[in-house]
Amino acid sequence: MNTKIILINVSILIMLFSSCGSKSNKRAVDAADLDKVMQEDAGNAPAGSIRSTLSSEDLMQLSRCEDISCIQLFMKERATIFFYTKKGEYTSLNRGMVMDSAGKEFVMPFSTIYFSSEPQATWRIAQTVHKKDLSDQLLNEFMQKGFVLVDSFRYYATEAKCYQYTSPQYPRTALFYSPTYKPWYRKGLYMNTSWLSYVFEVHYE
Amino acid sequence: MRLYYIFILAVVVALFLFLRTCIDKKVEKVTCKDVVREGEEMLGTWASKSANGYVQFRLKRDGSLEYMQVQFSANDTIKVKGDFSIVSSTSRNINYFPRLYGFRENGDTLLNYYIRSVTPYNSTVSKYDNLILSDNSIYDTVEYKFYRIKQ
Repeated sequence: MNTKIILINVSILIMLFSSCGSKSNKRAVDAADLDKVMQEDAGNAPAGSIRSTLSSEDLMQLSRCEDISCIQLFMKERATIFFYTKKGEYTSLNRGMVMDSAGKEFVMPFSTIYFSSEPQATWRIAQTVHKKDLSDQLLNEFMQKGFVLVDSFRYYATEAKCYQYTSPQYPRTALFYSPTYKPWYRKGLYMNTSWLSYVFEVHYE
Repeated sequence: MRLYYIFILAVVVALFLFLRTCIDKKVEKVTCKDVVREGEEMLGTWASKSANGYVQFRLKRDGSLEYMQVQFSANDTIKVKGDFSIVSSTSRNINYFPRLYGFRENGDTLLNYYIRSVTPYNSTVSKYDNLILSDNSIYDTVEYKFYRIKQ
């Protein structure tokens, strides 16, 4: 009889203890410490890539590549900004919301790098930026290096108007800038393009 | 005979859970604190702070909601009472997170967010419980992180 009473008491005690203790409640934060905890949490978060595009300097260096292996080696050193998607394509690690011409929002990489990998293709390498502010920032970088507009024409590759920039500081180098809806038609991201992309192509001759 | 013991065990477990729920409710009533159990991780008080303000809301077991917002610049505090509901995705598409709706007493919508994640009950990874809400169910976009607050 005594054993039964003890057992009942013990089960009631267990229930009472388990009722007071909740694992989730133990992981609660004091309202006064919220600032500190949020700061600590933010400090522990993995740092994202700072850049979403290659810099103007990078693009100029890349333009001197004469073959695919050179590009692959160059991009390997920038693996914290871009990742290898497939042959001929690199995609920026930074992704975000891009709005198309109808106001629809897409989540996509902020920039991509494409190069012609087909043997019969004309040699071409370009960076496509998908946000206007990032494009303006990159164009400004070129301007600061003394690049000025020298010509504009309709470019067959982007099927849009293209602006040519050159700088006396960088002889034999030309930037071709082209806002377009057909950056690399039917390739990679651009199967059904409805957003404006900004193509940066640097030629070294 | 074995089935009989299994049945007894099931009855004992059911009784234990029932009694625990009853005691939990009593404890909640007396202490005015939510006792969070497995599968009920959303319950409790959640808060987040930024340079502009402080937002805190409490989701209670009975489906009621207490919402508080402090705007630092105006030194203004808003307190609202209402109800909440959590709606799972109607389709079985895993790309859509469940949704948290909060309503004022007059029926106006107060909260309407996707629940991106909530710290599981048995988590040993997180030091603090957090609840992540977002405007959309697209991964890698803007999210709001709330922390469980001691009541």
